[in-house]
Amino acid sequence: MIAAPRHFAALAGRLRWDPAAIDLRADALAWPALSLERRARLTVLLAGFRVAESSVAEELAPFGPAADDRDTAAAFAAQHADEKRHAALFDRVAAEVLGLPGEGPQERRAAARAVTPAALLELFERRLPAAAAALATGRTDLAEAVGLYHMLLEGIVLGSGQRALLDDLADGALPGVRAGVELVERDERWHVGFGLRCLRDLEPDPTRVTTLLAEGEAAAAAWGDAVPVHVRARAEAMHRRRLVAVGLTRAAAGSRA
Amino acid sequence: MADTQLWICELCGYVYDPAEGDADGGVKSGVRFQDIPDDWSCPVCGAAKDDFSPQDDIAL
Repeated sequence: MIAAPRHFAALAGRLRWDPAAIDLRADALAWPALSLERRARLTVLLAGFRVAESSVAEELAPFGPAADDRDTAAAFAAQHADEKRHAALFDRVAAEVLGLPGEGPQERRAAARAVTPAALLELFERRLPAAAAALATGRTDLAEAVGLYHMLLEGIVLGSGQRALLDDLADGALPGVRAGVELVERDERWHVGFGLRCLRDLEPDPTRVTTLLAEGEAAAAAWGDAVPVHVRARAEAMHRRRLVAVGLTRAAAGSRA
Repeated sequence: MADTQLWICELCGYVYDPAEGDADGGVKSGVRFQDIPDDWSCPVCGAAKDDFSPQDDIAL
């Protein structure tokens, strides 16, 4: 069971934060002193988030209008505001910590794209825009779009990337980045819960749920080596557990995620 | 009398209902939230048991 959509709009109001208030000065100073290997791994993750969060912020627009009730539309609107905050935070990280070249957000996004794994670009810059465009024009339905956006992209890809970042930065090496990612992760938890509630209410065809389950493995692998294997495995297991929790699929015998 | 108290994950909105349990998490139906093992986690977001609170007026 999951709370109703109106719960999430109210929750979002209580969680609001300001990406401009995150202090990245210590991070900017610390970055050059990190090992080359660590900087390379963190660059993939943070540049990937720079690209992915902009994409999810842009492509969520048609979801609210596709909802058939006011509470769900309001929760999508609250999520949209969150996604814009996330995009702003990771643009600051790209500019102020990674030092990616570019005079403005679009140039930095292009620079980030150059170091983002191809599988991630495929999901966020081709598949998601295509799904959002299809939703906006009625060529697909909300269940299909939510399955991709909330379950695969947010629940697995972004969730595993956040976990990898938080684990990597647990030593306090980049305190501002870690504080920002913690806030983003907190928001993403309700986004996934809300998406799951939408999906349950939309009662997708069982074959679609089967497809959604099968796509979990590829989604978990989108970051490549930047996300440890055990983090990917947990993200994939959580994906299945979520769908079981709302009755969209059955629990495996004796399973425990 | 069976305990029917619902508990909500403050982070993701998942609601634990003792009548349902959490089969995939190893919790059978009928188990009170207080009796779930401490290492159990939210089936939706992975939050810890401590992130849940009892709720009587959840919008469902």
